[in-house]
This record gives sequence, structure tokens and C-alpha cells, in this order.
Amino acid sequence: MSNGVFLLSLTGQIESAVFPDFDDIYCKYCFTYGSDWAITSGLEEGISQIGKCSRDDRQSFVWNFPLDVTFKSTNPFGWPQIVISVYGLDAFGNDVVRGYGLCHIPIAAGQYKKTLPMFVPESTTLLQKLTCWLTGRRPEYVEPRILGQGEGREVTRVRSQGWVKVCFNTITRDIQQLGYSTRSSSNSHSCLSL
Amino acid sequence: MGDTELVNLHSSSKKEMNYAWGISEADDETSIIKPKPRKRLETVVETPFNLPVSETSSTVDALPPLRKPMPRRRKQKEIVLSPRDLDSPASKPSASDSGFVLSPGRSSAASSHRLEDKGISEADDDDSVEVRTIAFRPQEAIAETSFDNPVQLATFSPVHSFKKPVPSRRKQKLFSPPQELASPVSKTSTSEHVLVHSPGRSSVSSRGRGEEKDSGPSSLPARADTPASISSQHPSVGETSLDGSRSLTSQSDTRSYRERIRDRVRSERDKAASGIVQAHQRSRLKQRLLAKPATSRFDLILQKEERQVEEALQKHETTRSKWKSAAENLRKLPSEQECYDFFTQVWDSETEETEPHTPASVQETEEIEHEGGDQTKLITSEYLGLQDEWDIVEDTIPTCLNMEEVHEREKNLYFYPDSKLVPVEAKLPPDQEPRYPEAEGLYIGTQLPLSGRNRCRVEQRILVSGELKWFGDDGEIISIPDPRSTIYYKPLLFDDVSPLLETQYKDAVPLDLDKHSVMQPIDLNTMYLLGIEIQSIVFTHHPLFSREHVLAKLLNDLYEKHCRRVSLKNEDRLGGRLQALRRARNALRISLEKSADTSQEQKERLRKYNTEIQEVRQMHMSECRRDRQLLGSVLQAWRDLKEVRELQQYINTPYQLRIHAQQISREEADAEQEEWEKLVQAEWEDFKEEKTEEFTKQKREYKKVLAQWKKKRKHMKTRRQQQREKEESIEMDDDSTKDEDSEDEVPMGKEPKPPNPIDWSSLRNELEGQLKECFRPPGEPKLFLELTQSATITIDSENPREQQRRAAVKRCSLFIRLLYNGQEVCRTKNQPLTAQFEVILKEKVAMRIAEWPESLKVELYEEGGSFGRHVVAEVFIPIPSHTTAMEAVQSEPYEFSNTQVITFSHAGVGCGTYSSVLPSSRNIPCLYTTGVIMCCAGWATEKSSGKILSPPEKYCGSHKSDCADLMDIVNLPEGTVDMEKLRKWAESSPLDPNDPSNSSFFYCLKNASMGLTTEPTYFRLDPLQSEFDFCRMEDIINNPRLRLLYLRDRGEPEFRGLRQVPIREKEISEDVFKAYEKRLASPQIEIGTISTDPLDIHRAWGKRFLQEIRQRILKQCRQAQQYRKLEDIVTEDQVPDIGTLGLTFMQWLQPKRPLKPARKERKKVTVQGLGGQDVRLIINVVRAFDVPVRKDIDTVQQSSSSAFHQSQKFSTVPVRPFVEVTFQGVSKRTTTALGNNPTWNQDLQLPMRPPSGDFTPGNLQEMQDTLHLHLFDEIVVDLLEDDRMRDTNIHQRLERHWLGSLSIPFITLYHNARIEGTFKLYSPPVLLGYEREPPHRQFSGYVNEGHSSFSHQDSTFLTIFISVQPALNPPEPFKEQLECGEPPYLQEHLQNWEQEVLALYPHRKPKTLVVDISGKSMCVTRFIRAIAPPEVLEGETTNAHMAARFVSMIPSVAGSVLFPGLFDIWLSSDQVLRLLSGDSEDHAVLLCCYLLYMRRRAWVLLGTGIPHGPTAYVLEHRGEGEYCLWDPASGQFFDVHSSFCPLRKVFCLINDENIWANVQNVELPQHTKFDVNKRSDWWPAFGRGIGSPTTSIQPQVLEYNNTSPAAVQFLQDKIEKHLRDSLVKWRRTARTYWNRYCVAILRKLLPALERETWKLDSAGQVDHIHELQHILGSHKMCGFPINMPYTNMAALTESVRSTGVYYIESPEVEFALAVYIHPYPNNVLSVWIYVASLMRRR
Repeated sequence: MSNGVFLLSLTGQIESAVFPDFDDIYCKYCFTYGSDWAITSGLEEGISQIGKCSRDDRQSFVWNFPLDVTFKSTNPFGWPQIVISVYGLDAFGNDVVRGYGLCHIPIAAGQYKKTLPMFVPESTTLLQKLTCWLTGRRPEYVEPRILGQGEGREVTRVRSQGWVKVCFNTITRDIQQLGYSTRSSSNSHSCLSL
Repeated sequence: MGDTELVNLHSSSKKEMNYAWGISEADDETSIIKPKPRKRLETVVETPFNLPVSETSSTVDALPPLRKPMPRRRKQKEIVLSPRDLDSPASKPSASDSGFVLSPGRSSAASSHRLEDKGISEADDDDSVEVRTIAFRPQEAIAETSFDNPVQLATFSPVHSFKKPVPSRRKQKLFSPPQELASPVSKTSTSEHVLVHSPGRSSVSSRGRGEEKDSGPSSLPARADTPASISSQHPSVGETSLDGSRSLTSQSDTRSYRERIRDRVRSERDKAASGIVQAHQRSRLKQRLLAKPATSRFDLILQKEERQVEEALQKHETTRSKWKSAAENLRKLPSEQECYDFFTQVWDSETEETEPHTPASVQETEEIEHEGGDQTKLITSEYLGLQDEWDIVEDTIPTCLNMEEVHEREKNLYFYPDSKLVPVEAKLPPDQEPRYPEAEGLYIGTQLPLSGRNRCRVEQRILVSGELKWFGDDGEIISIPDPRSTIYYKPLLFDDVSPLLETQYKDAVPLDLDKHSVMQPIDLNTMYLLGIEIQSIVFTHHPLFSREHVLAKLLNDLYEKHCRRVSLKNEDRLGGRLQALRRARNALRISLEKSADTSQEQKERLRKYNTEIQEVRQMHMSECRRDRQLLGSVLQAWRDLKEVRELQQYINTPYQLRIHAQQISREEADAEQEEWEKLVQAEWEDFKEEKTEEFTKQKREYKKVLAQWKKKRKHMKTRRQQQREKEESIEMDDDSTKDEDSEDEVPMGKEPKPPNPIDWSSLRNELEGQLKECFRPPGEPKLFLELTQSATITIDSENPREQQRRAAVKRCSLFIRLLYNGQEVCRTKNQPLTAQFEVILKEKVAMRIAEWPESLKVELYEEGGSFGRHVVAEVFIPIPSHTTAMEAVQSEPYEFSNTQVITFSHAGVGCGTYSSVLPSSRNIPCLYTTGVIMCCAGWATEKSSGKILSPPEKYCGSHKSDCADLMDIVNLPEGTVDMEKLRKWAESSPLDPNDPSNSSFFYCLKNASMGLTTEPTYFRLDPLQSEFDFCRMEDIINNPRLRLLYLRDRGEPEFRGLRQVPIREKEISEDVFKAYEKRLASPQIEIGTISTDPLDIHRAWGKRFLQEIRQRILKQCRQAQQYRKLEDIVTEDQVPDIGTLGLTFMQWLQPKRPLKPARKERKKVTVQGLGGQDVRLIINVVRAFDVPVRKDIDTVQQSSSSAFHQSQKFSTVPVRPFVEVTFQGVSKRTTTALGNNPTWNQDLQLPMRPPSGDFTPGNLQEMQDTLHLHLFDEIVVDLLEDDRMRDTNIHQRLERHWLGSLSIPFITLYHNARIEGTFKLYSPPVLLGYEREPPHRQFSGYVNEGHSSFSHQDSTFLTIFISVQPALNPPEPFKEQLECGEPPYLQEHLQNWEQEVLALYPHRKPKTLVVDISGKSMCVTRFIRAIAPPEVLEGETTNAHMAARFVSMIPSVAGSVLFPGLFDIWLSSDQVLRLLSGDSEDHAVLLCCYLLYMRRRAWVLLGTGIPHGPTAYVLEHRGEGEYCLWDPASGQFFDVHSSFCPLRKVFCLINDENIWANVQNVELPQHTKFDVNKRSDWWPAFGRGIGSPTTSIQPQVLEYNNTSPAAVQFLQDKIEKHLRDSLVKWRRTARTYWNRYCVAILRKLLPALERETWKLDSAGQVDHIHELQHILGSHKMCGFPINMPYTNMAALTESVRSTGVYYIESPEVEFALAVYIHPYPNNVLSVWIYVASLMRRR
């Protein structure tokens, strides 16, 4: 008998990224989740090393930055999402944001490889864009976790750039016991019939 | 020349690279290698020098260079590396052994190879450097030379020595450092050198001893002729050595290091020139000494010296003796033998001896190295070093050759490959012809591109080496073709596949939408066996049918039909029914006739019977007619068949129809006749009846019509008559004529004809004819038909066409392909077509299916017949239902057909043609190939268990329900069947429910009615919405978990911060909802029930009212708040204007101040991140000023002891204060300090717990907790009674006396992030037992003597700093504007003005439009109006102090507490009085209004104060630039210059006319100028252009009601009682005694205290001490009055409790407590509580 919580263990890596035309990039990750969720172990936030672009055609940045976190929850509402924000140095050596991306942690146990498309908020005006470029302070999200919510996103304009590849290995525990099914409906359907 | 080098490299060992370089340099063939060393040299140049200087000389200048070596050394190593690779292994140990000193030495040695060259080019700069290198040279040099090829040595050295005549001049000067070493000053250091060197050397010698020995003798001859040249130079060296160290002292420090070195060298050079001779002599001596083998350490040192001298000497010598002479000597080359010996000969005995010398000699060599290449140097040095020992001179010198000679020799040595084209013949073996594979057609790849010159050179080289094998048949060098590919391709990358190509695993998803794709792969472990048995194929038509076949088939069909009909016996059944009906009708009729009263029902029944009889009769007749017709057609067909058989004279089919005619006897015939008659009669009667009925009907109708017609006609007639009359009377009128015409136009209609009377006889005939048609007339024999297949088929017919046909039939064979899911499973054997066009297959196929069945198809193939193999038909066999077992299944016919058109020339009829096959005129329509396959399908059963091996039901063929069958029968399109109608029809129609043929229909009806739902009577906009609801609302409410989640989602405050809602209902306690339900229920509680006290009710009502307003406005704002702006989500820099840009540039230009501390913003912790942390309040209690001191007022002893006290005042510590901090029930205290100006400087940390652990701003804002700081005096009471024990025992008790307190709401702290400053403590006006220090004892810095009349005097101040750790997110200010009550232009103006002010001073936010209680924003000036204050004292006009007192007694609430996260709401004065609460602005407005009424100039001042943050004060102008401030919340009054004024910042002023924003740079009230007329100081919102709105929202007059004195008295008693009880309750451990006498006195005192606050001149000061004299005489008294506005009982209790009066533990303590309430109008109450503790004096 479980003790009324289910566990979601996530291990994985922020493997690599593709950001054409950028160099010296690092990433940060954080999780956003609902109020019924709690992290039982592992790091909620992390910051990777600075990676340089590979010299081949792939132009990829490899971080292999490990993720290892375990959540516990009583309610699938507010399923945790990983928010990855990528920063890098621009031509003047300023630390600027290169992309934001997020996705839900896979809900079913298994291995997943996800490619997160990244985007950055755009400057509102051309003049601002210029000054941003000069000062090295590009528009950034006040809080990257805001991306985990749908609310208020309509006011922003973003440009997409780059991808980040993340690999997730998720293990769940007690979800089934508590009456939730994380397998796809067709699967369960076939299970019933056969 | 590159080639040359290459050759050299290969031929010699690695280490000879050096020589190779040497060559290239010497030959001036600048090769690639040359630039490199040059570059390196520059770095090396200084390094070797640094060390020696520091070691050898103790001069001042030695220090600065010392700083450099370390970093340099690293460089050196880098440099060393490359030569080391090239160096011989022998050189390596020396490096490792020689340790730290050697490493530079080594590098120098290594680099010195290049140094020579460098020496030339940069001689001016680096002379001295080279000198130093020399000292360390030996190991290297020896090591290298030892492996040298003697030949090369011999040849190269001269070159070098020749090449460098220029440096030679300078060599003299270069000798100086070694000289220095030799000098007595530096003796010790030099000895070190020796020590260091020797291991290196020994290691060398151990490794390459043989070589060393070689070097010894071989150098001898070289030295032999140097002395002559050296001798002249010796003295100079000696001179140098003496003065070397001095020279540099004169140099200034500013000069560069290099310069100094150069100078030094120069000076030495000068000196050397003067003293050459002496030095020379000395060195000679030394040399001689050196020659002896060293015996001791001292000797070694000596030797060392000698060596140095020698070095100098040699240097001298070498430089002096011009190279011309040297060259001459050198010209005499050592013989080859010598050279050989030099390296190879083993010198065993001499090692001992030579060893000491070698360093010297080596050093010498290095000197020489500067002049020439390595090689030369080496050799010469060997010579020189051993000069004195060996006098053999002549034959050793590596003579300098002149250039021509050198070149000549070189020519012999070197091979220069020619770049001339090599003839083909030369490349091939002599007797061979060149053969070109290309010409022979062989493929030759493209050759590597190689420039012609190089190619030729290579060829030449090969040619010279004679290796012809490198040449191919065609004379070209054999080489592989160009390996480069011209095609670009991407190499495979294995680890990172393009995302497009990446294979992603996806579960196969069966879709429910389409059954065909639903298939889940069958688990191979389960067995599904489908069996199909194909029995036979029977053609009902085939192209090869002969005519006879066609007819026979027809006959067969008709016969079968006939048989079926006969078996049905429709005739008898219907006949019987008809008879029964007739009987029933007759019976009914009879009964009707009998009884006169015929009910309608019966008539109806009769009529029904009639119609039914009519129907049945007709059906009976038609059925019988059909039977007879069928019989006829069978007979016809048989006749045709016979005819055809006769015609063609052969028989193809076995069919034979036998007709049995039953002959009838006479009687039978009569009976039949009779029966017939009867039948006819019965029919006739019915018929007649029908007809008469019909006739009567017609007649009735006719009559009706006729009547109508007649009526019409009549009407028309009259009309016409009228018209005629009209015509006659009136003249012809257009209208009337028209009228007439129009009427005439109406067709009259024919007169209806009456129905023809029935001609009964003809009808009878007609009926009889019909009957005869339908029924067998009497006398006709009964026919029984029998079709047999007994006819013999004619085997060989004569007819060739028939023969052809038969042959074709015989050829024809058929087989079947079985397809499962469109894939062929199997095919049957080819079976021949029989003559009867049947194929018996009888094949059984069992298949184990691996796919869900979709289709089962049989394809019928025909072979051989008319065409080749072709498909005759495709038949889909339905998948058997999952219950169908193979055993139980019956074979069923499946019809097939084919639309092929075939015609034959033979007897076959073909198909698809309209050929008339029949002899009779009857035509049979076009025939197509048709047939029937007999087969069956079913699932196999497992034998053991009998289980049917079928897949689940849903995969099997759909089972047609009976109901669906019925639908087909009913022939209504499915889906549109109106079951209701059908049922009605079924009810009305006399369907026999027991008839088995109707059973399915009734079944269907029954089912349908079961499922029938009643139509809803309401209408829904979104009818499907409920389908998507998770569950019903009741379920959510009933389920605690769902309810919890639901309420949390709704944002109910009790559940807002709830985390981890348990997943199981049972884990949720029932109590969770209690608070919520209570809150929900609370509004229902009548206010009256809370308290009986009218005063309490008033306050409760005010609170409730504000709560409601809050709810309403929150609702209004919530919508607006939800819209997020870009700034909320994205941080973006503003476009900098010129000002900020200028600032940034200024910053760059400013001098950098790295030590200037930069302010770092504290990181705001996100809400989510705060969850786990504990948030703490950090309170730093710094110090207090003006703490009252203890003063025991003993009225009895006062006079006597006063003098004593006076004298003691300075020496004793009359107070021991400490501060206790309380927050959320947790207390911490500081240590006890001493004196009235104590300093603690102590950090206190208190935990902060928000309600329900929720750190969101919204929740934090609702925190009502207050931080209390209390200042106590700690009194140590000595309890030790026996003085004798004083030495050993301590028995004390601590008491605390409250001195003052400070309360800071958490909200204030939260909004301000931190609070710091000096705060005035609330302290009672009288503190019994304490007094303040007289002003002269206070620090002058804190007291402004001129304003001592102000309130600072009787107050204590506390300096604290409070912050929250970690910092909390301050609430987002609400930006949205609500609906504005002002005209738009005003609104716009005010907003603009506000913006402009904010642009200047972003933090000084003036208020322009504020929200009133209705949620509309109003201009602030409307709030201010002169209003009369209440009459506080009868007969006395209310003064400013009284008004302020009145205002301060209105309970205040912090604005942000009221409306968290929003702007605050301003209440008008009447509202404030009604609600009896308000925030600081409301108080200020009210006070301002009163002051204005008193004709004073007053403003509401907005600013920041301590400790409450944003606050409002009232500024009053007292004339002549005198301003004072009123704190409306406390009623206190400050001069603007008072340093302890709690107001800190002044932002804006508001009065009824205008708003002024503070645009001065200062904002401290002490410094601010308050003259609002000055535009530069105060910027008004309204000016000439636009005026302030005139009407005020304040009422003209406030109504004041007198407070009921009875209620006040009641409350007063209640409070007193309650407080007394509380005090007793707090003192749990001790009994509480009350001093009633004291209480009475205190009660008397309290009203006076209230009066004092009014500052009336008439009210005399009450002398507390005087009043209490009696008590003070007998008791030690400690107490104080507390004053506060009345809010509720709890607040009073808490404030008394916090003073800690009850804390006194003394057993004999007595207490006194008195309460007084001063009633102000409108239920404003000022509560005074006097608490005192008394101790009896002894």
C-alpha cells in the first residue's frame, strides 16, 4: 500500500544544443510544477558549463548536463515542466539570453529523447533592438518559470532560435495504485481486450 | 638548397640538426629554420643574464633583474624544448642533474647555438648576455661535439670562424663577467658555480667519457697556435675583473635593464683595454696552476678562479688576435686521422686530469662560439682549454679556408640536384625502350601535380643514386595516382544522426474510428483457426450452356418456385381465413339485425370485417392466380424444352417433367361443381356488397355534388337576373359590365352525372371470369408436377456445333483461389466442369490467422473453356461469427455473377447477348454467367476443451440482428425509422403477435420502446456541456478531496497556499473546512449578537462595512489585474536618452575606484523558492536614548535623602534597560545594558511563519501580525536576607518594569523591505518610580534646546534596524485606473502632471486621483474642506490639540491591510466617523479639515515616515516661516525642525485648492522649505490654465452625536473587570492582591491625564506625586497609565499584557488597576488604563 503519494523520478541529461551562429553557450534549467508537487531529492535548478560550438558541420554544443530529480505528488495537476534557458556571450562579451524552451516531463515511465525548440523574446521596437545589441541587455523573461503558464504570454513576441536536446528517463511509482493511468488510452484499451 | 638540408638531415643523426642550421646560416642560404631561432633568441637573451648577475655580484642593480627570472625561466623551458629534441641524448642528463642553476644554463647552452647568429645581428644589444651564456656552455658543448662527425666538424668550423669577423671585435668586452667571477668579491658565488657545474659535468663524463677524452687531445692541436694571439690580450682581462662590479653603480635606476648591462659592458671594455697586460700574466700563472690535478676543495676553488681568468684571457686572446692570423692557423686542417681520433680514441689514463680542465676549456669554446658556428667554437675551445698542456701546435688547427676553397670543398661534398630535364633514356635500363601504358590502352590515373623543377630534381637525385627501380616502363617515377577525390561527400557521422532521419519508436496505435485499421497484431501464442469448406460450384448460367441448358435451367427454376408455392399452401390458408371472416361477419350481422340498438362500435366492427374480407378476398384471388400462372409457365417451359430437344435431336439435360393429372369421378365432379357454385356465390355476395356499397357511396357523393351545383346555378341565375335588372334600370356602366363579365367568366361546371346503375349480370360474368382465372374451374383435372432427371443425355450428337460446345465444356476446368484479407491463402485443384455445369471441389481449408479477419474472398477461375485462365467471379464470404464452429456450420450457397459478354459460334449460347434461344416467341432477357458456390466457413474447435478458436467477437463478421432484418423488411431507410410511428402503426394494424413471421417485428418494437427516452421539456444552449463535466457539482462538494481542490482553485483564502492535497479522501480531516464554513456563515450572524454594547456594535459594524467594500472593490479590480503587460513578463531595457548615455560615458571616463564599495541588491527570492526555507526577521537593536531612570520617590525620606541622591546621581546606574522583541508569539530579548543611553547593538532573529505557509505576496499582505518591541528595566532585587552569607551566596530576583514600547505591523516591514532609524517609543505620560534625566544631562547632540517644549522631552528613542531574511517579494503595485469621476480633461491633466513629477523624482509619487468608497477615482482636493470639529468639552471651543486628540482616537488601520495589493481608498470624513476606522490619509484629511476650520493654513502632507512607511501628516503654517507637523494617528505635534520627527520624507502637499509636489532636492522635513508659493520648490498641479475642481465630496457639516455616558460607564466597568481577571489569570503561580486605596486614587488621576492632552490653559497640571503621596510613603510604587483608542477588548488586554506588569514575582506585591474611558462624540473613545504594582516598604 502506498502512502498516498506517487513518485516521479527523472534522470536524464541536457545533452546538446544547436544554436547556429552562436558560441560560448551555457544553459540553466529549472522546474515548474503545481502546488501539489514537491521535490524530494535532487537539484531543482542547475547551471551548466559553458560550451563551445563543435568545429564540424553539426555545430552542436554538448553539455551532457545531468538531470536527476525526484518529485512526489498527490495530484497530477501541475505536472512538472522543465524550463531550460540558454545563455551565451555575445560579441562584446555580455551575457545574453539565447533561448528559452520547456516541456513537460514525460508522464509515463520510459526513455524519451526530446528536442526542445528554443525561443527568445524580441525587442519591441527596432530602436530598442539596436540599443539592446549595444548594451548587451536583451529582453529576457522576468522569470523563466512564467513560461510554464499559459497566462499572459500573448503580450510577448518571440523569435525561435536553436534546439536543445534533452533525454529523459522517467520512472514512476504508485501512479497506477492511486488510480491514474499514464499509459496511452489505446494501450490500455488493447490490454483490456486481449 | 632545401634539398641539401634534407639530405643532411637524413644522413646525420638528429642532434646534428644544429649543424645543419649552421650550414644554412653559413652559406647564407636562408632556410626555413633560420627565422625561428632568431625569434626565440630575443626571449632568451635576457634570461641567462639575470641569474648570473644576481649570483655573482652584490651590487644594487642586481636586484631589479631578479624579479624577472621566474617568469622568464618558464619561457626558457619552452625554448629549450625544441633544441632538446634535437640534442643528443648525452646532453640530457646534464640538464636533469644540474638542477635549478643548470636549467637556465642549459637553455642558454642550447640557445647559444643560435646565439652566435644572434650575436651578430644584435650584438649591440646583447653582448653581455652572450657572455653569461658562455659560463654554462661546457656540458652542452662537449656533449654535442662528442657525437659530431669529425669530417663535418672540420669543415664547418672554419666557415664559422670566417663568417663572423664583426663580433670578434667585441669579444674583448664580453669577457668581463667571467672576470668578475674570478674576482675575490664574488668568490663564494663562483665556487657555487663550480659545484653546480661539476655534477653536470661528471654526468656527462660518465656517459660520454670516451668522447670527452677525445675532445681533450683533439683540441690540443687547435690550441697550440692560439697562445700567440692570446698573449697580447691577457692584461686587459685582468683589469676588467677588478673593476667590473663598480661600473654600474653610477647608472640611474630609470634606465632600462638592458641599457644598464650595455653600459656596464662598455665600461668594462674600457677598463680592460688599459690593463690587458697584467691580466694576461696572471692568467698565465693560473693556467699553469690549473694544469695540475686538483687535490682538494680549495684547489678546486683555485682552479675555478684559474679557469675564469683563463677564460678572460682566452676571450681576450681570441678577440685580439684578428681572425686573419687565426685563419691562417686554421687553414692547417687536422688530418683525417686526427679527426677520427678525436672522436674515437679512448683516453683512459687522462680522465682524471682532464676533468678539472674541461669546464674551463668549454667555457672558452663558448666564447669562441660567438664568433663562429657551433662547430668551430667547440673545436677551438678544446684547443684553447688545453693549450698549456700540449704544445703541439702545427697540425691541429681547423684552418680557416678562404671562400673559394671552402666553396670548392663544398662542391665536393655537396650534391646539388640539377633541375634539368632528365632524358628518358637515362631513366630506363640501357637496353629498354620506353613503354607507355596509356598508348596501350591501359588506364592511368592522373598524376599528382608536381612542378617541373621539383620533378626533375627528384629524378636527378634518383638517377644519381642509381636506383632505377623507381622509374616505370615509361620513364616516369612510379607513383600512385592522385588520391584526392574530386567529388565532395560527407563522411558518415555515426553518433549524431540527422533528426529527420532519426528513427523514433512509436507504439502502433489502433484507431477506433475505422475497423479496418483497428487491428492489433495477433498474439502468436493464441490460436485462431478458420476453416472454409468449398463444396461445389453450380452454374445457373454459363456461356457454354446450350439452348436446352438454358431452358432446363428455366424449367428447373420455375419448378422449384412452383414447388415452394405449393408447399406454402397459400390458397388454403387464405381461403380458410376468408371463410372465418365471413362467418364472423355474418354472425355479427345477425346479431345486429336482432338487436335494434346498434352501437357505433359494432357497426364499426362490421365495417372493419367488410373491408378485411375484401382485402383477404383480393389477396386470395391474386395468390391463386399467381399459382395458376406459375403452373402454366412451368408447363410452358417444359413444352419449350421438349420442343428444343426435338428440334436439335439430342438431349443435353437430364430434366424430365412428369405431369400427373388426377382424374375426377362424376361425384367428385358434382361435388366440385357444387363447391364451385358455393365459392362463386360467396364471392358474388361479397362482390355485390362491395359494389352496392360503392354505388351508394357514389350516389351520395353525386347528390352532394349535385346539390352544390344546383345551388350555384341558382345563385347565378339570381345574379343574372339582378344584373339584367340593373342593366335595364341604369345605363350601361363600365364597372357593372365588367362585373358581369367577370361573373360570366366563372365556369359554370357541368352538371354532375349520376352514377351508372350497376349492371349486375355483366358484373357476375366478370367475376366468374376472374374466378376461373384464379381457381381451378370444376372439372379441370388436378395437376401434380414432378421434375426428374431421368432423361438420358445423348452422348454423341451429330451436330458439329454441339460437339464443339461439348468439347469446350470438357476442356473447361475451374479452380478457386481463397483470399484472406486480400492475400491469397490457397487455391484448390483444378476441377473439370461437368456437363451439367457443376464443379465438385469438396476442399476444406483450415488457416491459422495472424491477422484479424477483414475479408474472406473466393475467386473463381476458369481455365480452358472459352478463353485462357480468367476470373469468372469473386465472391465474398462473410466472416463467420465468433460462435460459429466449423462442425456446426451448414454450407450455404453464395451466388455469383459475371457481366462478361461472350458469344460462340458453336452451340453455346454465350452470355450477355440477347439471342432468342427459345423456339417459342417468348424471349428470355439477356443472360449472364451466374452461379452458386456452395461453401461454408467457421472456426475450428479445440478438441480437448471444445473451445472455439475464434478471435474476439468484435473482430468477427458483424452479426446482423433480427431487428435490422426487419428494417429491411419494413424497407425504411435505416436511421430515419420513427419507432413511435411504427409502434402506432403496429397497434392500429391487426398484426398477429403470435404469428412467427411477425415475431421479429414485435421484438424490435419492444426493444425500441424500452430504449425510448422521453423528450426533455427544456431547452439548453450547450446541450453537450454536461457530457464534458468531470463530475457533478454535488460530487465535488461531497468529496472532501475534490472540494478542497475546488476551493483552492477558486482562491479561497483558507486554502490558497495549500500544498499536497492528500490523494485519499480519508486522509483529509473534517476540520479542514471548518474555518471556511465559519467564515461563510459569519455574515449571517447578526451584528447585534456579537455584543450587547452599542459601542462595540458600532465598531463591529464599521469593520463589517469595510470588509464588504473590500470584497466589492477586489472584485472590480480582479478583472483588470489579470491582464498582464509586457513589462510583467519580459524585462527589456529602455531606450537610453542622451542623459543616461552621457552618464554611461562619464562612467567610463571616471577614474576607477576599485576600493569603493558597490551596493549590491539583495536577491529577491521567488515564491516557489521560499517554500522550504525559514524566513526570519532580523532585528538589530542598536541603542536607546533617554531611557527614564529609576527614582524611588519616597515622600517621607525625600527631604533627607535628596541631597544624597543628588550627589549620587552620577555615580550610580539607575536603570538596566533591555529590549524584548515579540513576533507571532515568539519573544527574544537583548542582554541587559546599563544607564539611560544604553547601547546593545545586538541581532535578534525571529522566525516568520505566514498563515498556511504560503509566501505569495497576496497572502503575506494579509498578515496582521505586529512586531512588538518593549523596553524594560531589569531590576535585580536582592533576596539575601542574611548579610553574613553575602560573601558566599547570591540570592536575587529579577523584575522587569515596562518603560516603553514600539509596534510595527508586519505589513509595513513587508512593503518597505527594511526599517531602520531611531524611533520614538510609546511611553506613558507618567511612569511611576522613574523619571527622565534633566535636560542638561542629556547629550546635547540629540536635544534641540530651542524646541524643548516639544514632545521629545518625555519620550524615549530606540534605534533599530529590521529586515527580513531572505528578502520577500514586495507586492505588485496596482496600476490599473478605475473609473474616473472627474472630467476627462482634468483626469488627463492630473495624470500628465503625475507622470512629469515621477519623471523627476520617481519615488515621490504624488496622489492626484484617489479612489473613494464607491470605487471611483476622485481628485484629492475634493477631500479637503473646512469642517467644524466636534465640541469636546462643554462650553469650550475646540482647539487644535483637542481636534488632533479626537482624530487620533479614531482607530486606524493601515491602508494596505485594508486593500492588499491595491491602492488605498480614501474615505470622506463622515465615512471615517461612521466607520470609526481609517488609515493615515483619512485621519490626516480629517485633521486638516478641522484645522482649516480653525482658520489655520494647513495641508495634508504625504510622505514617508517611520516606522510605517508611506504615511500622511498634516502640515500647519504658524506664521513667519514657522511650520509644524501633526501626526494624525497619534495626535502628536512636532516642529518641522525637530530631529526626532518620525516623518522622514516629504513628497507632496494637498489642500482644498491645489496639489504641490516637492521638487526640491531635499525631502527631509527639517531641510525642506515649505513655502508653496515658490514654484522652484513646490510644483503645483493646478495653475492658471486649469483650476482644481471646486465641489468637495466632504459634507458641509459633520453631524456629531454624543456618546451615551451610560454605555461608556458600562464599558469602562467591563474593561476593568476583564483586565483584572486577566491579570489574575496571568499570575498563575502567585496570588494577586489588589490595593483598593491605590485604585481609587488612580481612578481620580486618569481624567486629568486626558485633559492634559488638550493643552488647555485652564486645566491645571495634576501633580501625580502629590496625589500618590500617601501610598508612596508606605509603598514602593511602579506603574504607568496606558492610553489608546478603543478598538476592542482583545487589543486592550494585549497591550496590558505586553507591559509585563504581572511579571513581578515578589510574594508581597500588590496591584492597582484603573480604567477610564473618555467619551468623545460619535462613539470615539479614549481608553486610559493605569496599572501599578506596589511593594510595601520596610
